[in-house]
Amino acid sequence: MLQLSNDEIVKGIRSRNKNVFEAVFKQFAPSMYNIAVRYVKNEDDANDMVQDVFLNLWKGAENLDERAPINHYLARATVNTCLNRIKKEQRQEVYTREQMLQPIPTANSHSQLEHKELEAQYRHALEKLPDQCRRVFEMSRLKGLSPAEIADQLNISINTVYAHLTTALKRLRVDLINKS
Amino acid sequence: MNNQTDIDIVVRYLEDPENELLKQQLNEWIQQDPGHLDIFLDMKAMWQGDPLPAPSAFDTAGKWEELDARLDQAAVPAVAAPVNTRVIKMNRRYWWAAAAVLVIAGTWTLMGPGGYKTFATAQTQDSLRLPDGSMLYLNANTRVRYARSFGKDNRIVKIDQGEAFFDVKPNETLPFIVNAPEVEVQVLGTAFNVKAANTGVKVFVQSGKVSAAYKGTEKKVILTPDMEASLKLHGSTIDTHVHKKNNNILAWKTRTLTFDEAPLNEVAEALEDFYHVQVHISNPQLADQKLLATFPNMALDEVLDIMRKTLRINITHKNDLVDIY
Repeated sequence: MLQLSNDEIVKGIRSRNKNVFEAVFKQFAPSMYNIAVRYVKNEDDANDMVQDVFLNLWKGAENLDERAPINHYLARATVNTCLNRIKKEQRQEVYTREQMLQPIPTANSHSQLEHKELEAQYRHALEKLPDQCRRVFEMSRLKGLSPAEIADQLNISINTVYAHLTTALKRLRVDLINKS
Repeated sequence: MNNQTDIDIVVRYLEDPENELLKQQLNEWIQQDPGHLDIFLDMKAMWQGDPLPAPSAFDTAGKWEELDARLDQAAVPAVAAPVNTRVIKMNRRYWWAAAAVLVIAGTWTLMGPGGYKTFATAQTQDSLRLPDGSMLYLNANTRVRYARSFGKDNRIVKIDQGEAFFDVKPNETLPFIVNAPEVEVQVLGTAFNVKAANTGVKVFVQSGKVSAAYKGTEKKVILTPDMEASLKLHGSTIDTHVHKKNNNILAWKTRTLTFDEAPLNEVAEALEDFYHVQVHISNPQLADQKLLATFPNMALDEVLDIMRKTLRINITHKNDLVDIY
């Protein structure tokens, strides 16, 4: 991955340098997609939203604030796109209701076999996590406890909980991507 | 707007992580939906500049290709150089020149018909590629022409009326010249931008160097970035003025108006230019009010509504008349 300073990135974006756009896209678009898909619960919409954020950045490139880190801009833009999308959907209420009733498509877009394989891989990846990290992750995902509750039960700070969850997600995603 | 906590709490928390109220709101929000925790974790990692790896459902390379194609098609307000060339040939000394020229119609004789190609726009904006590869972007109600020999023994573009913006391909042997009434603008280096009003021609430089001169005289000025020169019709003096970074000279192309603590009369002028309306400030006490805002491609009524709310002023808009009081 291209290692650029924020200064270089902002300059590159302001002059619409495609290499810089590509580097920024590849670094942040996956996270933005993941945020959007969890929020709007629709893969196509989430993909559209990511594209929209970058298209808007492209169109207004010369107005990009040179002082702010690009990742902060992208985080805000993602949130705003999410909020706008929801507002739009509230206007088209019927459509919204249908959308919300749909489960996250990843859950049913695999055949059962694929699902089983994936689950095995997932368990395997889970086992490789450090103990405390796995414990926190399982409390969060299997028992459905909130970070605050986990922090309480394990007598650790909520920031530590977040850190464990981040590490877990990082490793799980790397493991699952490498296998699929 | 309702008061319910929504996804923006994540960014508000990250901006101010010590704030207890935000912490609490964040925790409540995370518990609303099982997906919210993931949103927060991804956002937090992103905020710290170390994003989590791609989720397996996201096809990074494929989606980049899709975006790549869409960027090429996107109608880019051409303030910057065309992208591909700039990226690939960055280290070659490219002289980009960009000029927007707005002039009054009429007053100026042409070399005679036949030898020219003419392009004109009515209500809409348009763009064209000149034979030498330079790009020309036309605002509405603009007419330009160039000789058929353009690019061979000359690079001269004439503007009959309106406003235009140039992305000029460098060519040291053939200087790029924009002919406006009484005024000649010549590209010396990188990027520049020219504007003229109905009292004369204004030349504004975005980057690089540009010379502007009264035709047939020695009167000439060399401009550097953020400088604007005003050349009055039938005049002989050239006034120069250095603009601050946020100005709206290129707003017609970027479709974005930016005001950085701009006094209301300056705002009114920019709105008049951009939306083709007349803006009248009937309460003189309001002239001192300052506006800090960015309006990306927004309808006039939306802009006025925001101004009403932020400045707590009254504005009416009927037909082409805007009254501020």
